[in-house]
Amino acid sequence: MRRLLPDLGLAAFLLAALTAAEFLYRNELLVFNFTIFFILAQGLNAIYGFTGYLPFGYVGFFGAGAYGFALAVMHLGSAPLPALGLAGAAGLALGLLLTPLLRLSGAYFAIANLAAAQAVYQVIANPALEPLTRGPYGVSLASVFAPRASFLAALALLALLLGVVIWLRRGEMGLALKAIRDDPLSAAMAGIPVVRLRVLAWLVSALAAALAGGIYAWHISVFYPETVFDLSFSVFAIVFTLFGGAATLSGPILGAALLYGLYNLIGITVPQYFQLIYGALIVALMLFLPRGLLSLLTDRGHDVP
Amino acid sequence: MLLFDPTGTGAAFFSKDNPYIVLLADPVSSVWPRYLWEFVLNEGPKLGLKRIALLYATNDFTGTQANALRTALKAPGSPVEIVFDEGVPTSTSNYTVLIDNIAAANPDLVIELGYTGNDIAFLRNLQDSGQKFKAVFALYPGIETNVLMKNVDKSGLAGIFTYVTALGLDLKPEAGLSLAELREAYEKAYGNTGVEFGWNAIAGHVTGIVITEALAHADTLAQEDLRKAVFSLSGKLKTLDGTFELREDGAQIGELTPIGQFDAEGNLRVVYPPELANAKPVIGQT
Amino acid sequence: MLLHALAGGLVYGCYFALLGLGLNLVFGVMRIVNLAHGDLIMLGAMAAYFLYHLAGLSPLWAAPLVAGGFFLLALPLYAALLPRLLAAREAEMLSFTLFFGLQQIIEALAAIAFGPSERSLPARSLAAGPIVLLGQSVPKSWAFSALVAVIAIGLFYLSLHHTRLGLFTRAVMASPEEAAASGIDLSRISAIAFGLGVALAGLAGVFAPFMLGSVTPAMGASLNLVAFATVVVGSLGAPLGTIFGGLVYGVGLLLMQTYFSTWADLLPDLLLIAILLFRPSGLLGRRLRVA
Repeated sequence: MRRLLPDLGLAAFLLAALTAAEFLYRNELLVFNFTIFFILAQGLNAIYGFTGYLPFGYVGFFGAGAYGFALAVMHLGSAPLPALGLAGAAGLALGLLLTPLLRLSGAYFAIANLAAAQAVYQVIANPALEPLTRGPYGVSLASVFAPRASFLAALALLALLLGVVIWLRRGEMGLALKAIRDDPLSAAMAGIPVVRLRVLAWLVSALAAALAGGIYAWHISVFYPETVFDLSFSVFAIVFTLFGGAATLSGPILGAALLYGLYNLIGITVPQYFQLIYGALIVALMLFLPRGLLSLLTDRGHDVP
Repeated sequence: MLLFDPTGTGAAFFSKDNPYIVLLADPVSSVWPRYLWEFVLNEGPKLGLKRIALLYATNDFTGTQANALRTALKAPGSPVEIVFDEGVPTSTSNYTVLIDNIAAANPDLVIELGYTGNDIAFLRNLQDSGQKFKAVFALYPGIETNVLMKNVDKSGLAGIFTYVTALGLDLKPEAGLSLAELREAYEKAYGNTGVEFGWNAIAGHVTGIVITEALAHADTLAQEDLRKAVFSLSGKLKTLDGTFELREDGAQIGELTPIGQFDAEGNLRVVYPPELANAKPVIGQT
Repeated sequence: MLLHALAGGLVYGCYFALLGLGLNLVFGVMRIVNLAHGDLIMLGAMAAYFLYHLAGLSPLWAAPLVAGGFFLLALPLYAALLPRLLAAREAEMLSFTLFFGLQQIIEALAAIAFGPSERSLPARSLAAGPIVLLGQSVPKSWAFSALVAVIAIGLFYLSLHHTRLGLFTRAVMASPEEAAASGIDLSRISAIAFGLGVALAGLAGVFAPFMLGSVTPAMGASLNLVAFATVVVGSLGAPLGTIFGGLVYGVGLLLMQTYFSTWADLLPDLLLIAILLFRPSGLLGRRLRVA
């Protein structure tokens, strides 16, 4: 239990800080967006950090969740919470559909996953599906608009996800996953159910993004398909996680806090300069610190959350 | 919080019970293409334009216009007939086979609605394909005239019909800069950024004017007060982009988008409606 | 309509073969996915744009200049980045991510330098008007671009199969370990292959303003997916399979536009997923590594 204290402390601090910011700071949308990116970075961490699969099309789950939520509200007249159930189901279904991609290694997986996310977007945005998804014309969910409640939902999801990542890091499941990541063959020989565990991590990751997408849809309430399938969601989640350091709890948090903060300082007015900075950061990291900023500490034997 | 939308988000976002948004340009749905379908229905048969081809990019801006056009042109008693009606992804950059397929339907008038990149590719492919139509309408030549002129050239724009925006109307504003003044200021400020002067630049300028005037008339900065102040400008504020006029749902309807045609020298002349026209439509050269 | 889609697709497809060729060469030799490939194509297009508008140089003259220039610029880039990467434990994934970073840098710099507006070269700079091929009328500028692509691919084929350097390159593609053991200088072959891959991207870029209507700094990312699709359809690591991939894509796109126009942009994505899952060796080619 003592080993868990730093992790739990960090999680509690993050949640408390976000709650305080939401109630004290005037720009609530900014606090909400931070929360969404903390979720996406941790969700990506669950698959990339613990299995090594880099899902370039991570935004596909986010968008599927947003549309799952929207369809439930528009066609079933659902209240927001049950609609979030459909958002999660949409993400899980897409995750299951894409499990065959886990057969592919490295770059192939990343690109096939990106193509899959694009394909989901192109289907949802096709005018032929206008009666169902409203096609390219966007959806309006003003009837359920509730910024405070949706923020609290995002906070709850983040808390849950932080719990899952702590469990992955410190529990047996996490050890097994890391063994698979480092050497799948030996892990399989040691009796670890390689395929089942990978699929499980994949679905956890998909579910997190889909629920985040559903909550995002609830919060902004009017959006186009390209809003929720914007590749920046994938890119940001990847960069934030790589920057801090995957397979840790604090790495993605650090990455999202610093870089999304920087994005809000300069990225909104001059996005090209922000793009230049994170592009250069990625190149420098891959050359000199491939396991992220925190590897400076972990390599010296420090135990970071 | 009150959102000012400079150039027109989806028409679906404006409703009477949504007090959060004010649109400063015409909504895309029915207002943009109104003169276009009036032109086709009223003048088309006289000019020999009876068979219509409709090709559009499937995004909100152009898709909604295509839907509105289709409804109007198919209304009972319509003197024209739609002989080709296809949407293409907005990423489309190859129009040769589409132009060939349109030609197979033997239309008199081809209406192509796309974003800048689509219209450039379509007009270039049209020029190089050897296909000729009696009349061709494209959306962006009147909106981002400079970009289109640079990419398609006046030889490619000659005879093309398009919307005439504030860019081609040169209205005399009571608030804000005139077209020439704005163009000069824009070139000075952004001339080297690679972003051409166009209607979107005008929309940005007018947004600034509306917000300035609204702030001057608002009692407080609360959402309802700001909204009240903006509505108090409706019908009174005359800018480069026409008379600012808000519908009950917060959408602007005062902007004019008459129909124009490029001549061989690259000048855009208004051909419809008659009260604004300064040239007659010429058929049979594209 | 069907005939036009087929004939136009073949011409269009030749160009897309050129678009993917460099990507595949770099992969074949170094097992590296150059995610900046599409952005290098964009830079080639920008170079052709400025060579024409500032120096009045026709694209046919710009083509060898751009290709040569890109080759020379690629060598220091190779020296700065790749030896360090290729030595790392997870070279494939690291380089994939690194090139993604490079892509972002190029796109950002291009957006800062050139602005977001569309640019193009007038058709008359190559050839204006239509030409009749296989009984169908296609833009003359396309026929010229396709012809250049065919010539470039032909030269590439000859050098790969009829020169010593080509022999060494094929040896490295077949098995880097055995090639190194038999005394082939791996890093020299890799550097040349990387330079050639970048040069081919630049060359493809010169003709992009004709084939794609216009170019913008943001176009690279979507070109990557298309280039990757043409590469895997043929066969990853086998550069000549890319010709086949390009033709499949070209004809496929025009058929989609004819019969299912609103769904046309699904084509490269579905091709990619289907091939990777069901025929990972490409429609003609050897197996790629799976996890």
